[in-house]
Amino acid sequence: MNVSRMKGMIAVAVTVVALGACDELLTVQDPGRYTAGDLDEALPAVANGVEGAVHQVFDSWVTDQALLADVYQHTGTWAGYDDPDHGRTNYNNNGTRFEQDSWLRAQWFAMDAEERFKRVMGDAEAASSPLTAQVRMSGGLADMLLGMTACESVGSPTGNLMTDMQMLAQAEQKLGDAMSTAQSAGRPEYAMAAQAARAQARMLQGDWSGAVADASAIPAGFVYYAVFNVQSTNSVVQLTTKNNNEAAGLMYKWWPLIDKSDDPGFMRDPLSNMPDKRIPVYFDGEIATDNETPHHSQWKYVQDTDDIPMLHSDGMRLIIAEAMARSGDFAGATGILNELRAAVGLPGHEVPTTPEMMAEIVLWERFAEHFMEGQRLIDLRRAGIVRQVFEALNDPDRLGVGRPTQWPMTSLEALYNPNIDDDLTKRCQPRA
Amino acid sequence: MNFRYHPTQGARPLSLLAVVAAMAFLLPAQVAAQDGSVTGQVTAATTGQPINGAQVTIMDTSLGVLSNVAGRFLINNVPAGTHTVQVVYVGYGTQTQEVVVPPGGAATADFALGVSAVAMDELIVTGTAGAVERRKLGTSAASLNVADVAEVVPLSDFSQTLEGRIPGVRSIGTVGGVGAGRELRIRGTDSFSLSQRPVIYIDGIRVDAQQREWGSGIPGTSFRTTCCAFSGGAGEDRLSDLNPDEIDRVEVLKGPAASTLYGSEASGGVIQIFTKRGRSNSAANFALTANAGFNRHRENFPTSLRDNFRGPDGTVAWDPNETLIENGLINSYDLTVDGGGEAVTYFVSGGFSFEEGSIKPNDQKRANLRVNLNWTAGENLTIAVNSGYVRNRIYSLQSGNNWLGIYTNALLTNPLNATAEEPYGGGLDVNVADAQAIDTYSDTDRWTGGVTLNYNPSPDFTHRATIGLDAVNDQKTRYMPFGRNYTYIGRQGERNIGYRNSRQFTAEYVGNLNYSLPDWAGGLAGNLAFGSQGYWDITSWSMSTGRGFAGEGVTTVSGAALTLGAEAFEEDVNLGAFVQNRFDFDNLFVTAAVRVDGNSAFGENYGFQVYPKADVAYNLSEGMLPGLISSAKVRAAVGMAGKAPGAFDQFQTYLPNTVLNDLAGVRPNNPGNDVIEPEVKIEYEGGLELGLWNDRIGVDATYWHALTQNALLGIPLPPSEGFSSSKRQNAGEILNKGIEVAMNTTIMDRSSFRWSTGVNFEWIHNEILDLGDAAFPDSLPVYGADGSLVRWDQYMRLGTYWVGQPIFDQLSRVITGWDPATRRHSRSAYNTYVGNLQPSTLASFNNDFAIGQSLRVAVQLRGEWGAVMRNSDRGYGVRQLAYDEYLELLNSDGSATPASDSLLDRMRLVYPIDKRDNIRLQEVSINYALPEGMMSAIGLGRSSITLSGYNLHWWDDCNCPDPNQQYRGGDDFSTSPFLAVPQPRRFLVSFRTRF
Repeated sequence: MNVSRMKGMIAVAVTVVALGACDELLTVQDPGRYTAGDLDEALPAVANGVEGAVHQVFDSWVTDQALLADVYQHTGTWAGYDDPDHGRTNYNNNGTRFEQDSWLRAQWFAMDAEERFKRVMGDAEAASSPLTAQVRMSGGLADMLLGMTACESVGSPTGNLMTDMQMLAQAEQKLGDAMSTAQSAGRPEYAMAAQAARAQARMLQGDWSGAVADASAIPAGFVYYAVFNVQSTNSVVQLTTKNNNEAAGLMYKWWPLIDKSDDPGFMRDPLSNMPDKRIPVYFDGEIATDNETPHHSQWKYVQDTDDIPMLHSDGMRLIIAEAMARSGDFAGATGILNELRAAVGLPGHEVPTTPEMMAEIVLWERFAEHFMEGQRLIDLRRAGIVRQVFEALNDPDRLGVGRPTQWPMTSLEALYNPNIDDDLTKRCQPRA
Repeated sequence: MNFRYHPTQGARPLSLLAVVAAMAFLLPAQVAAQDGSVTGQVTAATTGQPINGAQVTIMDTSLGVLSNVAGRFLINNVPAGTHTVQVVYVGYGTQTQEVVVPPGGAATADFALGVSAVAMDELIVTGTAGAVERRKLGTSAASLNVADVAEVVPLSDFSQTLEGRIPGVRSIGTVGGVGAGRELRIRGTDSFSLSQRPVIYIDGIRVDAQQREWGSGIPGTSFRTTCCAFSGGAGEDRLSDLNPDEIDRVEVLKGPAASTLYGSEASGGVIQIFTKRGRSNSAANFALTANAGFNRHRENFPTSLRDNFRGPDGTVAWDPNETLIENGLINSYDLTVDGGGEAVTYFVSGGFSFEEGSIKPNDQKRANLRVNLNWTAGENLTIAVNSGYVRNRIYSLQSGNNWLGIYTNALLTNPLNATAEEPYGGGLDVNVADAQAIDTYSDTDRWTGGVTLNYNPSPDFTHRATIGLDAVNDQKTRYMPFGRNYTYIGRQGERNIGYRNSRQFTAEYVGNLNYSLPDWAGGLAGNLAFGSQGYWDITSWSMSTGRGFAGEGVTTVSGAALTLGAEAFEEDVNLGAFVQNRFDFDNLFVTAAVRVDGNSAFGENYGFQVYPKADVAYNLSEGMLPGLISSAKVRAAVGMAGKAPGAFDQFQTYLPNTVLNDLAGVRPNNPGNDVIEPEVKIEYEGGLELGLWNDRIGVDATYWHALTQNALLGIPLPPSEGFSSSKRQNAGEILNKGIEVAMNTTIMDRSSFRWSTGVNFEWIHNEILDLGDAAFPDSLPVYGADGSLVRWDQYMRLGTYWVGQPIFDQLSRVITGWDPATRRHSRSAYNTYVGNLQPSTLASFNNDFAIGQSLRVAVQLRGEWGAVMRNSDRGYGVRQLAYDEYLELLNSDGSATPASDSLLDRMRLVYPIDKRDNIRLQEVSINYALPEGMMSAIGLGRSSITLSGYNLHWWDDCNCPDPNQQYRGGDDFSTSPFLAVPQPRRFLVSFRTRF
C-alpha cells in the first residue's frame, strides 16, 4: 500500500461523510401523486374528482340502506352486513360511515375547488365556469345525501353539528346556487340535476310546494346516474349479486313474490301478480355464501360497471304524486302512479278511498320505482312505519331494542372534529 | 512527515494529535524479517474429534486462519521470533501457546480444547465498528454459528435457523405454505405503523427482507386490479431466497443499545448474516449435502366428522384431513468447495432445492449459486468479493383471507351441501377443485453482492470500505382459467402479472484506530472508530390484469376483454456518519458513540437526526469471585436508534382517480407532514454473564427497557377536512421491556457420552404510554364471568389503540346472557379488553446428545404463554355450519338440535376468545457419523446421515389447528389466525459428506 492509495481511501471516506450533508441527495419525489400545485394545471380533473367522490360510494350506500330497511338481508359471512340486517348499529358499527366520510370530503373538496378556480381563473371567469357549476352541484348533492343518511352531520370543515334538516336546508341553498351557475355557464344538465336534487331536498324537509315546483321542471326521460367504471365498480354487484360474493340478498319477506327460475326474472306485482319490470330479480335455488340461505338476488345491476340512478324524472313524478296524495288529491296521485305502472305494462290501481290506502300505494310504487336506489329506509321513516314493518315480520331478532330509522353520524368526524363532543353516547341514534 | 504506530499492548503512548493526523497520512511500511510458519491441529479434549473452523491467530499481528475439517491449520509469513498463538472456538475454552518461529522454518502448536459454556473471546463485528471481543462489549449482541447447527440439524430456511436459539428473537408461522417463510421480530413490537422486521445485512450489504403480499399493497391500485392480491396470504418471504448451507454465522443486535451505529432503520434490531469463506493454505474441500423427505400437515383440522354426513345427491362429504392433506416431497442438494492459497481463498456453493407443500398446488424450486473470494492484495490490503445469485420459483398456495383460498373453501363448507361436483360442500362459492386450478407463481431472480476492502496499515489502524447491491426482480403471475367459477369474476377467466423490482445500494466506510494516551493522560488504551454509511433503496411495481377470455387457449393479459394496469414507485435515501470511542481500563471497557443521519423520508423542515449511545463492560477478575463462579462480566448500555417514516409520508398529495365515464379525476389523499421525524427508540439494558464451575455452565441474563418516542401515528383527520389518509405524526410513546436469560451447559462430557443443553427464556411487556394530543378519553367496560358489567375503566384512546394496553390488544364483546324463551344469547354492547395477542413469555429448551463417536441427537422444545386470540376461524367455521364443534351437536340426519342452534347463535354474536399457550416439539434430529474407514474406501471424508423432524407436535388449548400462526405477512405481527393454514410437519433424511 502506498501513500497515494491511503490518501485516496481517506478522501473517499471524507467525501461520503460530506455528501451526507448534501440536501439534494436526500430529495425524492412521488411520481404517482399530484401535489396541490399540480392541480392548478388540472382544473377539469379537480371538478371531475369532486363529482366522482359523490358517486363512488353511492353503491355502498344503496346496499347499506337496503340492509337497514326491509329490502336486503345478510346472506354471507361478514359481520359488517349482519349487524345492520339485525338493526345493530352504533357509532363503532355504522355501515354508512365510509359513505358519510366520502361525502364530507367531497363537501370540502367542492369548497376547495371553488377557491382554486377563483384563484386560477379569476373571480369573474370562475363565477360562470362550467367547472364551478359542476363542483357546486356536486357539493350540494353531497350535502343532500348526508342529510338523507345521518341524523346529524357537519356542513363545513370541522364545523358545528347540524341536524339532518339543517343539512338538507344547506343542500337546498347550494343546489340553488349550482342551478344558476350552471345556467349561466351553459350547462343545463348540471342545472337539471341540481334542480332534481333540490326537489328531493325540499320534499324531505316537508316543503311540498317547493318540491313540486322543482320536480315539475324536470323533463321526462331525465336520469342522473352515479357512474361506475372499470376502476370504481359497482359493489352492489360485486358483493350482493348472484355469481358474485352473494353476501346479501333480498329479504325473506319478498321471497313469496319471486319465482324460482333458471333465468333472471322480475318480482311479481302484488296487485296484479304480473312481473314488475321495475324489480328485476334472480333466484335459481342456489344457497348463498353463508351455506344456508337461498340467495334471492337483485338483478337491476348485473355488470359491475352498471350505473345506479340517483335522480330521475320518474322519481320526480313520484314526488308530485305524493304531494297530491298528501293534499287529498287521491285521483290525481293515483293517475300519475298508474301512468308509471302502465309504462311497464302493469294495470293501474283503483283510486283509494282512505289516506292510509293511498299512503300504502305510494309506498309500494316508490319501492318499485326506486328499487335498489337507497330510498326505502327514508320512505319508511317518513311514513313513520319502521317499527310497524318489522313487527309485522314477527322477527324479534331484526327489531331488537328498536329498529334504527337513521344512521348515526360518522364516528371519524365525531371523534376528530374539535367542535364535536368526543362522547359518542351523546350523538343521536333514532330508533323506532 | 511520518508517525510511528504503537501496538495497544506494550506500546508507547501516541498523542491525540497524532491520532487525528494519522487519519490523513500514510504509515511507514513495515520491515519484515525472514518469515516462518506455524502449523498444528485443534481437537476436542475429551473426544479427540477435530474442530473445524476454530479461529487461530498470531497475537499482536493481523495473521490468522480457520482450522480445516481435520482441525489442521497453517499460518505462513509469521515473522521469526517468539509469538503467542491463540485458538478461539465458541463452545470451547480459549487457549494460547507460545511458539518460537525459526527463520524460514515452522513451529508446531497443537490444541486440545476443553468444553466451555462461556465465550468471552468470541469476536463480534456487527454494530461495533470493528471486530471486538465479547468481553469488551457492554451490549447483549448475540451470535449463532449456523454452520455448527447445520452439522446436526438440517436447516431448511433462515427463520428456522434462529428460532428458539437466541432469546429475544421470535418467529411465527405465516400462512402461505412453502415459500412463505416465517415472521421474525426482536424484542417485541415497537411501532404502530412501520415495519417490524429487523433490518437484514448479508456480509455488510443491506438486503431486501420483505415478506408481505405486495400485490395488494401497490399504492394507488384498486380492488379491481389486485383483488385478493395474488395468493391472498402472507406472500413470499424474501428471506426464503437464502440457502442456509451458505451461511457461516449470524449476529443479532436486539435493539438500539447495540444497534445505534445503524441509525435510522435499526430500532427494530439488526441481523447480519455472514456467508462462508475459504481458508488459506487449504486444499479444495468439497462438501455435499443431500436432503430428501416430505412436508405433511398434522391431521387436526376441525372437520373429522364431515364424512358422517351426506349431501342432497347422497355424496358423502369429504373430510379435508383425509383428502386435502398430502405428502409434499422435499429434495435438495448443496455442493460447496472451499480452500485457498496464500493470497486467494475461495468459497463456491451451488444448491438446488425442491419442496412441495402439504396442501397442493404449492411448491418451491430454488437454485443458489455463491462465489466468495478473498484476495490478499498486499501486505496490508485484503479485498473480499461476495456474489450470491438465487433463482426462486414459488408456486404459491392460494390461502389466507381469500375467496380463492384452498384451505378456506375446503374447510368452511357445510357437509350437507356436498355433491359429486363439490364434495366438500360448496365453500365460499368457489369449488376447491377450481381454486386448485389457479396457477400462481412468484419468479424471483436475485443478486446480492459487494466488495469489501480491508486496509490495515498496522494492526492498530484499520480501514474497511464496503459497497454492494441487492437486486431483486420478482415477477408474480396468476392465471384463473376460463370456464371455472371464481366468485367475483364468474367464469370468464383472468390473468394477472405483477413486477416488483427492488434495488438496495449500500456503501460504508469504517476506520479503526487503537491508541494509547500519553503517560501524563494516564496511558489509557482505547479505540477510536469513525465512518459513514449510506443506503439508497428504489422499489418499483407494475401490475397488469386481463379479465374475460373468449374461451380456452388464450392466457395472456392482452388476450382478455378487459385490461387494467397500475404502476408505483418508492425511493428512500439515507446518509449517516458516526464516531465511536472505547476506553480500555484493564477489565473495564467504556464505549461512547454518536451517529448523525439524514434521510429522504424526514420532513423537509426537519433536518438531521442524532443517535447517541454508551456502554460499559466490566470483567470481574478471579480474585473478586467466589469459588463457584469462574468468570463474570457485568455490562450496561444505553443507546438510541430510529426508524424512518414511509418514503413519501411527508408530502401533501392528491391521488389520481378514474371517475365518471373513465375520466381523469383527483381526490385529496395524504395531508402530508413537512416536519415528520423518525421514530426514535431509547433502550437501556443491563446484563450479567457468568461462567460457573470452571465455565462449564454459562449464564447470560439481560434486563432491557426500550422506549419508543415520536412513534408515528396515523392521526385521522375529520373527513370534513378533505384528506382521506390519516396524517402521519410523531405523537406516540411505546414501552417495551423484558428479561432474557440464556443458560448453556454441558451436563456430561465423556468420550462415550456428551450431553449439552441450553435453556432460553424471555419475558416481554408491551404497553402504549402515550397517543399524543389527538387521543381522547374513552372507557372500556369490564365484565364478570357471567357476562355482567363489573365496572368501566377509563383510558385515552386513538383509533384502535388504548393508552395502558399493549399495541396488539384483543378487544371483544362478550356473551351477557341466554334467554330460554327465545333461545337466543345476548351480547355486550361494547368491546372489552380480553388479552394480549402476543405471548408475554417464551422459552426454549435445546439438547444435544453425543453418544459415542458416531451418534448425535438434538431436540428442541419451545413454549409460548400469555397470549389470546380472537378465534375467528372457529366462529366462522360454526357460522358456516362446517366445523366439528357444530356438527357433533346435530342429529344423525343432519338436522339441527337446540344445542347446535345455541352454539350457532352464540358464534353469530361473538367470536370466541381462546388461549394461544402452547408447548411445541420443534426439532428432533438424529445424526449418525458413518465409519470413516468405510467412507474413505470410496473416496469420501467425514460423512453422516441425519433423520430429522421439524414442527413435530404441539400441545395447546386453542380450539384451533395451530396457535402459532397468522394469515398476513411480515409487516403484520398481530397473530390473527383468521383462515391461516397451519405450518406442516417436516420429515427429512439427510446425507452430508466431504471429499
